[in-house]
This record gives sequence, C-alpha cells and structure tokens, in this order.
Amino acid sequence: MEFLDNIFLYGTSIIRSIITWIGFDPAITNMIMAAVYTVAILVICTLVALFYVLYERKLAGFIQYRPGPNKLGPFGLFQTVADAVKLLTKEDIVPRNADKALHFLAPLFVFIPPILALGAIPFGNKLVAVDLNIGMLYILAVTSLSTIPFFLAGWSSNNKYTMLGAMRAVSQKISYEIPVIFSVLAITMIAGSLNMSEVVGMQGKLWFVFVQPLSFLIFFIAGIAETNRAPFDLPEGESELTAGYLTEYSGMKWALFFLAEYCSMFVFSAMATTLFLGGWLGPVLPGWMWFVLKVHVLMTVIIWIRWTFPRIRVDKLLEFNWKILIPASILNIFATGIGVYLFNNFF
Amino acid sequence: MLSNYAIIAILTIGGLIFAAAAMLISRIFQPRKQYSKKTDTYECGFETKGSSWMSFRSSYFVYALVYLIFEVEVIFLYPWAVEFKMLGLFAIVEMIIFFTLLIAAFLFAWKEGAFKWY
Amino acid sequence: MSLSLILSYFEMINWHTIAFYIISIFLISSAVYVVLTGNIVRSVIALIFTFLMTAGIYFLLQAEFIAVVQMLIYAGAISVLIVFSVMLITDRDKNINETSPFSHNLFFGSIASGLFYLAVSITVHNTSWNVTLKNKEFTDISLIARGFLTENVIAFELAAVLLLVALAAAIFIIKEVKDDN
Repeated sequence: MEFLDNIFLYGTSIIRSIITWIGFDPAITNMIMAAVYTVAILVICTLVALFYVLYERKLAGFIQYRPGPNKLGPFGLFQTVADAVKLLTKEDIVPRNADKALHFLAPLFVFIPPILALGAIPFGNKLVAVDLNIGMLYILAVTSLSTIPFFLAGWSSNNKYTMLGAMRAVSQKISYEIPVIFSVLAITMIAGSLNMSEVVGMQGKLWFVFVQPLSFLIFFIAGIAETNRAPFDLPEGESELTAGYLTEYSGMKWALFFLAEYCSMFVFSAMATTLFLGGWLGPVLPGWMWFVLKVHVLMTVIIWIRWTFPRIRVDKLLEFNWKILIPASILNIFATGIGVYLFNNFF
Repeated sequence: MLSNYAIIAILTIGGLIFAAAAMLISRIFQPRKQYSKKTDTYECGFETKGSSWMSFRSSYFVYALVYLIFEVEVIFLYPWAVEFKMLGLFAIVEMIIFFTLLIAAFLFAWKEGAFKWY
Repeated sequence: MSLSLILSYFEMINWHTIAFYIISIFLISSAVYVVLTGNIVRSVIALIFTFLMTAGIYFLLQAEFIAVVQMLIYAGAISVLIVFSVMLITDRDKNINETSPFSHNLFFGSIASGLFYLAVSITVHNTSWNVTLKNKEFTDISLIARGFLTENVIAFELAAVLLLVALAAAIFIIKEVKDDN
C-alpha cells in the first residue's frame, strides 16, 4: 500500500541516485531531473489526449444511442492511434497570403501554457514538479497566457473566419478569467495559502467544495468557457465560422491545437480537483489513483455537458459572464469574508 | 530554491522541442504537392474578397480594459486573502472599502453599456 | 578527454550568470525587434515576448510574486489590451515605420532616448547596491500583504480609486468613439 502510494517517488529517487552515481554535481543532477519531469508531463499530456479523444467519442456514441468508433481493435481502442498516424502523414498547407512565420509559431506556443500549469499541480503527496509557494497564482498567470497563441493563429492565417474566431476566443477567455480568479480567491481566503499541496492538505476533514459550493459552480462553468468547450465553443462554432481560428491549419499543426485543447481541459479539471475536491486525498487506494479518478469524473461531466446542451448565442455568452457570474463571484467573496471572520471569532 | 525556476525553464524548452519535433517528423512523412488552388485562402469556395485584416469593434477593447483593471485588483487582493485570517476585523473593513470601489467601477461600466454586445 | 574532466568543467560554471545572460540577450533583442519591425502585429508579439523575459529576470532574482504579477498583468492582460487596440486600426498592412508620426523625428528621438539612457546609467552608477534583504522578504506573500494593510494602507486604497478613475475615463472615451460612428 505504502509502496504503491509512493511508486513514482521511488522511481524518481532511483533515477536521481543513478545520476549522482555517474558523478554529476548537484546542479546538473537537478537539471537532468527537471528534464525527467518534463518528459513525464509530456507523456501525461499525450496519453490524456489519446485517451480522452476516444473516450469522448465513445461517450458521445453512448449518449446518442450509437456504437461510436468500433472497427479498429477491440471496441475501437486503436482508433485514436490510427488518427494520430493519419494526422502525421497529412500535408501541411499554409495559405499563400498568410504571415508564414507567425502561422508556424502559433502551434509551437499553444502547447506551453498547459504544460507549465501541469508542472505545478500535485498529482499525489509530494508528487509535483515545481512546488511553488504561490502555486495557484502561478497557474492562473500561466493559463492566462494561452490567449496569445489563439490570436496568433487567427491573425496569421489572414482569413475572415480565423480572425473572427480568434477575436471571439480571446475576448471569451479574458472575460471568463475574472470569475475563475475570484472563485480561487475565495479558496485562498479559507486556506490562507497559495501553495497547492498545502491547500490539498487542509481538505483532510472536509473538501472545500462543501464549504464553497457556489465558488465551485462558478469555477466549473467559467473553466468550461475558458477551455472553449461546448456550450461555450463559439470560437470554433462550425455552423457559422467553419472551424474558427483553426480553419487554415492542417496536419500536425492542427493536431497540436487539438492536443492543447484536451490538455487544458485536463489542467482545468486537475485544478478543480486540487482546490475543491481534496486532490489526492482518499481512503484505501493510492493517492495518485484518487487524483486520476476525481479528474476523470470531472472530465466525464465536461464531455457529458458538451453532448447535452446546445451552443449558446454570442451576446448571451458574454452577458451571462458579466451580469451573472462576476456579480455572483464578488458576492461570494463578501459572504466568505464575513463567514470566515465569524467562524474564527465566535466558534 | 532556484532549481524551481530552472524546472520552469526546462518545461518551456521541453514543450517547444516536443511541438517542433512533432512538426518535423510530420514533415518527413507528409506529401508536398502545393498548387495555387490549394494555398488559396478558404472562404467556402468563393474567391476571397478584401483583406481579412480589417478593424474590429471597440467593444472588444472595453472587455480587455475591464479585464486589465480586474487583474490589477486581483494582485492587491491575493496577498490580502492569504493574510485574511490573521488580520481580523481590520481586513473586513479594508475589504468593504476596496470592494465598494471595485463594485462602483463595475456598476458604472455596466450602466454605460460596456458589457452590451451591440 | 575523460568524463571526470568534462564534469569538472561543468562544476566551474555559474549557472545563475549564464541564465541571466541568455535571458538578457533574448530580452534586449526582442525589445529591439519591437522598435525596428514594420509589421505592427509582429511588434506586439515581440513585446509580449519581452514581457515574458522580464518575468524570467524577476524569477532569477527570486522575486516570484513580482514575476507572476508580470506574467499575469503584462503578458496576460496588457498584451490583450494592446492586441485589441491594434485591432481598432484600419490599415494594418502598412509599415508602421512609415505611418507612425513619431518615426520621422529621428533627431529629437535620439536626443530624448540618449538623455534617458544617461539618466538611467547615472542612477545605476550612484546607487549603492548593498541591499541585503533576506530572500524571505521578497518571496513571502504574507509580508507583502502586511505591507499593504499596515504601513501602506493609504496607497492600497488609492490604488483602488485610481483604477476606478481609469475605468471611468476609458469608458467615456470609448463612448465618444461609439457615438461618432
């Protein structure tokens, strides 16, 4: 039990001792270990995308009463592998009028914000690449950078659909960033810390979702909007904008955008798990397994929402944010402040 | 302590290498037959009309502005939230003053129609 | 050359200094590109890169809160503001070096920037850099909070007033633009 719980920590310490045994000094050892963490996070990202693409299609099939992909391998398990191979061999088409350098840079950068965010998320007890003291603020800062690649993609393609899609994506992302920040602020007030591991440690008795249900709801809705998922997927609404900012991308570049979308979904679910659902805490099973389970439940809910609700109108989308989510989150902070004060002084 | 930031730097470089490698490997396998029709700008099959680098409505600018102001407030609010439990009643009073100003700004923007799509 | 010799070379290197110079080179070259390029969107992108590299410098100084603020405010919010204001411009395909009214005053421009450079270097030269704050005072967010809410509380509240005024002013300007159309 103890062994399974720490299996990844044992793995890293074995690698570290091998490197030290070869004779590298501590600074180099740390860098090689950082490279190991990076590879681990990249593998997680790729696996997440491969698994959840298939899972989403299967679940969509189940919801719509059809089998979903079922030809390749048992239950269509190899469908995404085949898709990946297909995308690898697709021609990369760059429009003649595009800004070619920026068209190339956008898919190069799109992948970085989710990777940087995953680095600061604790997958288990002590199982985190960078345990920053201001972890939460760091993750918010890094995820707010994800607007730039989308703008780059839309602008550089020199296409009306991509341009409109990019403008919508950026304005939607920045608008919904505000409720996310405020709901995390409420958690900070209760926890009194910005360190992700400490926040998880405080939820031993009671998960924060029970203390802050409104905050969780706001975080979840705004998170779906920020990752451009249905019913908030207007930037790529195919019935009006073809594919939004992705219209002029093909082959591997398109695949990188797709990978980044699933990764940022995963990052957002992992954040919700860490802040509200007690992270790796749970009985019997090893910690990282609990973490993966909780994230999986949240991912399932996101996919379920996508295949249940229709896309909303663009003016409603922004009005819903400014007129409902933001006032609600500000009021929530007020209530939290007074609640915490009363709890500390009178109980 | 400093190694934390080294990890962030290496994560960034790793991400760049991953994306670049994916594109490079794909370069080896993909066919390359480009002709003029293929590299046209896509506009549902029609000839493209005008430049797509047109100017957009000013409402977008207002969203960005309100976002910036909220972000700056957040920088003040996060340290306050971390210390909230320690500061007691004083923090509550501070919060009420600060938030009144924030809400005043927000309501003003609302009244002036900054959040209207049209 | 034996492995141990190579390893001993590695031990002599000061990684901190190397990282500083690498970041500085990227920082300065992207800042120069911001000024020199004729394409306004490329200029904006280079500016965002400059912001991020500045955050890197702050990380090197172990001022992690300032670094994250730099990322959140400058690279996250100000960049979007600039991007959207670029989107208001009508003829974006033109070379900004030609359309900008400021790029014709090469003479006064170089005098102004020369004076600024002089002022900065005099300040740098005259400051005695013997600040020995402990790391904790830069990194500990609760100390920053105490600073905000005890000694500098007036400044803290004034910041809120300033933001209110800024928002009001911006909305009035936008309203005028909207009415003109």
